[in-house]
Amino acid sequence: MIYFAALALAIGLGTAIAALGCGIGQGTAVRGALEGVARQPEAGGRILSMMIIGLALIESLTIYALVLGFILLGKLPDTAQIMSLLQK
Amino acid sequence: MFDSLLQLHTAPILLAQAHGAAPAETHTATGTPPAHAAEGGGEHPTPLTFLGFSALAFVLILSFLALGTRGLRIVPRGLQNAMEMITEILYGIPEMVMGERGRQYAPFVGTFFLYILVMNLMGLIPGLKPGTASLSITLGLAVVAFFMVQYLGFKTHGISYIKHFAGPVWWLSFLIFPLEIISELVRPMSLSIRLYGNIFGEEQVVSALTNQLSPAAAVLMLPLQVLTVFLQAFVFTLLVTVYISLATEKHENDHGETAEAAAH
Repeated sequence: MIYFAALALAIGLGTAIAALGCGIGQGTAVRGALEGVARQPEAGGRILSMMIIGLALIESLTIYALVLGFILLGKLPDTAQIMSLLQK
Repeated sequence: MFDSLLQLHTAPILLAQAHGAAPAETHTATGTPPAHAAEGGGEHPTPLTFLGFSALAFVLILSFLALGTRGLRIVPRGLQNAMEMITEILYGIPEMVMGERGRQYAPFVGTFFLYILVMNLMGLIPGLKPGTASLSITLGLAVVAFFMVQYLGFKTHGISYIKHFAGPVWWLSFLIFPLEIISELVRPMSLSIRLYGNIFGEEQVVSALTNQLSPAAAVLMLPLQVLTVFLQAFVFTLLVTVYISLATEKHENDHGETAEAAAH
């Protein structure tokens, strides 16, 4: 039973904690981009492109955790199966 | 105590055998979860299904090309106009990264962009699946990119391409060599998992919304899906271009200071 509980906790918390770091990182990136545009509005287009690329790279780290979550999700059995296991 | 631990470990396998769900459990290696996770109630998609959809994307691109190059004019109209705009974008991506010498890599890089974009866009149409939602297909694309980068590096530098992995000073190279090799080998993995995770996760969210709430709720995901589709195709292409430019740069600048190296 601890196995299933730990697995469910890992699935739930894994992506959440990864998203925490991703939120901080992307917030810092966007802050840098906004400061750059505020200093020099003519560079807005180029700064936007670089910001989008940077955001996609930071987000890919959270996507790795999400993929692990999907893989672990496949190892969780159905509720009906756990109920029948609990009855024994 | 060991009996209970062993029972915990083998419980999923026993349950699967008891309920005849063994084929679904063994498919988790390819990243597709079993049918009860979040699928829309259809059959369980195998990698061959995604291969079929990627072949459909290939056929779509070919037919677009065939129709667009019919009756070429000097002043383009209609489909030829769209094709020329797309070609300008595809040539612009390597030029943005490498400058003028990027134009020779534009066919290779542009193929990635167009192919991944069409495969991703097919996922927005209900009834079709995006080909990139299978780790097999994205891994295939990333491995092709990896081997092409190595080939271009050897073609540009000959055997001294190995010196790229040696770092700035020669007496530290035995430490830096494994690190650089590992970081080079991790690139196809990160490319493939990034693309696969984004597109597959998007698809799972839409199917979960459709099952739990209603199909109308899944329509709300559409703007985010379109953004992700274009962005992921662009990021894949851009990263492949950056890797090519790193492998084929002629002048040996300080290894860590160029803007492209910062995109590791």
